[in-house]
Amino acid sequence: MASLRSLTFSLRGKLLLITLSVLILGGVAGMWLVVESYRDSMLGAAHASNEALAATIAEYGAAPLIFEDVEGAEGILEKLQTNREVVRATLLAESGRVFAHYERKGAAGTSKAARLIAEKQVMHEGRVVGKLVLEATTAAVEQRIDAMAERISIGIAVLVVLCALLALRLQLIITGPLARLASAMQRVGAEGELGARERYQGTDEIAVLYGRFNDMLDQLQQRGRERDRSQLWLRTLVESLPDQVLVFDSEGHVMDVRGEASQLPHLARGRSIHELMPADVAQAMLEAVARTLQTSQPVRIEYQLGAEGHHFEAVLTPLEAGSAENWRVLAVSRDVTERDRLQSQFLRAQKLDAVGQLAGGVAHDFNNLLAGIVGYAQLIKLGRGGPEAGKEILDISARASDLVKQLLRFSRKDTATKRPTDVNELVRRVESILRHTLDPRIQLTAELPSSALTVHGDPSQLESAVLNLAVNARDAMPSGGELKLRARVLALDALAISTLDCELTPGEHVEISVADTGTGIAPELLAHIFEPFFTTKEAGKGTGLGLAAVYGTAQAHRGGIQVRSEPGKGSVFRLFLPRASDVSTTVSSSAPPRGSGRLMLVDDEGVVRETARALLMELGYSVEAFGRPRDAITFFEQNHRAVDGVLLDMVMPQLHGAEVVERLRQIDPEVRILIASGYLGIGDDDSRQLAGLPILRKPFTLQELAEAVAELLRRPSSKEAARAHA
Amino acid sequence: MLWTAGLLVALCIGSSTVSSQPAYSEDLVKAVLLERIVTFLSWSTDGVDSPVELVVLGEGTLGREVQRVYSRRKFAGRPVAVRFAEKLEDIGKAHIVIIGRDHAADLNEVLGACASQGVLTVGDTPGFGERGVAINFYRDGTRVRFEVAPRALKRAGIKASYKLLTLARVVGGT
Repeated sequence: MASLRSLTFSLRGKLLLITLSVLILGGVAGMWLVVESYRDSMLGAAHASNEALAATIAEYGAAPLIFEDVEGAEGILEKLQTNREVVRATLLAESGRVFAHYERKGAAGTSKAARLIAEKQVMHEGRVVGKLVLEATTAAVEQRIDAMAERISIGIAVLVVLCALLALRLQLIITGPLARLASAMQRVGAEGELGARERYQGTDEIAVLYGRFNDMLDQLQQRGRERDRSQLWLRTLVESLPDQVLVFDSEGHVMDVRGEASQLPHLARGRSIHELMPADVAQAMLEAVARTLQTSQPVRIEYQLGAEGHHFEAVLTPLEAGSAENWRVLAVSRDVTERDRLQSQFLRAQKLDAVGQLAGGVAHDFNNLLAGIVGYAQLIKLGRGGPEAGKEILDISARASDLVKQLLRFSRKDTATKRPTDVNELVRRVESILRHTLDPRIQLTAELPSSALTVHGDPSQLESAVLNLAVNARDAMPSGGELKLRARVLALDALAISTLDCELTPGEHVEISVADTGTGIAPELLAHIFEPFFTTKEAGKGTGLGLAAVYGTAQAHRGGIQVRSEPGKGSVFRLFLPRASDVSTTVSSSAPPRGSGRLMLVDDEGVVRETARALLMELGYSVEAFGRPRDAITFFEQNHRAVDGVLLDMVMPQLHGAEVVERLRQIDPEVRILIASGYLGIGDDDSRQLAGLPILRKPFTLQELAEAVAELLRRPSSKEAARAHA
Repeated sequence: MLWTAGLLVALCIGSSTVSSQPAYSEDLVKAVLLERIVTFLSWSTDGVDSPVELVVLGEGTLGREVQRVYSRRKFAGRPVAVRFAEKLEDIGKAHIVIIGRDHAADLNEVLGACASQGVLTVGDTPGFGERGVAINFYRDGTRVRFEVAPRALKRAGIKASYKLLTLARVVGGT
């Protein structure tokens, strides 16, 4: 079959071959069937005829046998002479004796002729009186069969010839339309004649083929039009691009120029990249070409051109083009100098805007606080405030201090002072603050365990975080509601943590939750509430730093925060902090420790300087105060042996605190220095000069000042401190 | 039984040939042939159990031989009663009438008298067949042969097998 398939006949030849093969095979098979059927029929008939003849002769043979009439019997047998098939007949008496016999003369027969022998009993009056044996040959039958086969063979041969002639004509019905279709295909393929349509009348497979062919041409035409249109669009698009569109070969030769680049005469086709750009840029471009061809991935490079330092960005993309050596690289280059400038301006404007927002919020809060301080100060001035007014001023100042700490915490310039902190106490303090400030329509409850809940953290930061959450809850309930504070211990395993939307280490945690029944937070806002400057409050009512600071506090304490909120029903904020072993928290002594010694105070802010000097003198110290660092250094040069310690501001206009520290140490390496600052400049946290120095955070209370100075004077000298730090 | 077997063997050897076997008389051969011819005939009014009434009319040895041979055995499977009659009136009831040569003169009357249904007329006189005797034996050299007159058989209401006719000489037309 494979050899047949490999025949290189034309379709016409194949059709003829198939037709003739079918005809010949069918004819031979048919002839064989007919001849064999005829043979069976004829032999059957001959056999039946022989049997019938034998029966007849046996019938007639009864009388001669009865009458012992041999002549009569032979006369009957002689009648068989007329039957050419009968070659022998024997009439046997009842005893088996041959009574009469007949044999045809010259009955040799053909080799393939069979013998038909019929034996019949001769009966008379129901009694066997003899037997007839009749032998016939099938030669005549075989002759007739041969003659018939010959006639059929001739008939088939004639039929094959006639059919072949007919097939030669009829195959044109198939090959004709196919040849026309092939011709049309030739025109389409060689000449691109997509309009070549062929018509075929009929509903057969060839009609389907014609239909498919015409449909295919329709689609090709349609796609061609779409491709042309698309190419036109693309060309227009590329030509109108403000970018320089270049196509390089793998060697860096310009193959095509489009877009803005086409306006540049020096970017001509065929020129090398080295002719177009400075050597370093050309080299970088060539490396990018090689890299994009190697990785088949777009490669982005930036470079500068021209005396004015124009900044360009280029994206190189490989263009597949048959074999690897024919690949091209598309380079889309753009001058981004102006964009960079605008982007820089935008960022600056954005930053200013943020600072403006922040300043607005801070100013509002500070104004409120200052209003309180001024009010109480005026009462004192009028002699009507009493000690309560002073306490109120201190409280307001503490809140102002907390506000500053928040700002610093957000700007990450504040260093947390962590220590064992009782959350119960912290929440109670917040509760106390809230009770004095909340709208009476807000019902405040606090649910705290009887046992201590200790975490390792900065009590000020944590209190500020909880207070922030509570203030937000308050603001969410302008018409009143329920505000619930709760603290408890939770043992969180990995499974429990996976449900909390925050990263925690499995173990015991203290949960501080603040729940309100306020307006809730819309789902689309929930994802942004911890972002800095994000606020839903009116301008001037919030800095947008509160929740960001809370988030930062949680992170700084290796904790997390989770929020669940439903608009119209309220929100629940849950702050998780790792639980620390319960230890007694440090309790400040009620009375500030007093001391003695000579201190040098350096601060450019007169109010701070004078207040601190007054407080230190109140504590028993002798104080030399300086507003200008250089004056302080001069004094120290002359009197450093008489100075027990230096209280030094950090940010000063003339000389930075770190430089002052360095100068003082140059004078006296043993000098004890206490940094008193509300803000440490960039890099101050880990600067070499400030390493190991104690810090007193501004604003400070009398207690804090007294403890810090007492601690300073108890400390080893600067040298020892530096050694300890090393 | 042994006798019958021996007779049959004898007949088989030379029933129709008398010259070559002088031990068997021509009459014996004719008697045996007559019995065999009767097996090829069928009477339309034949009674099954009635004996075959065979009348020998006139002179002749055939009748006596028939009587002798079939006095102790059945004739064509049936008992046979042989009677001898001198005159035509003495024939009476009969199935077979063997007509002697002495009745050649009044053969027509005899045949007329035997025209009644079911009487097979038999002769062994030359020319009797042509004259209307149904079965008539004749000599053909050394052989004894017989003639059959189909018309006579038809008149007697007797049917003869075609097999019989293949051996007999048909006389008197059909």
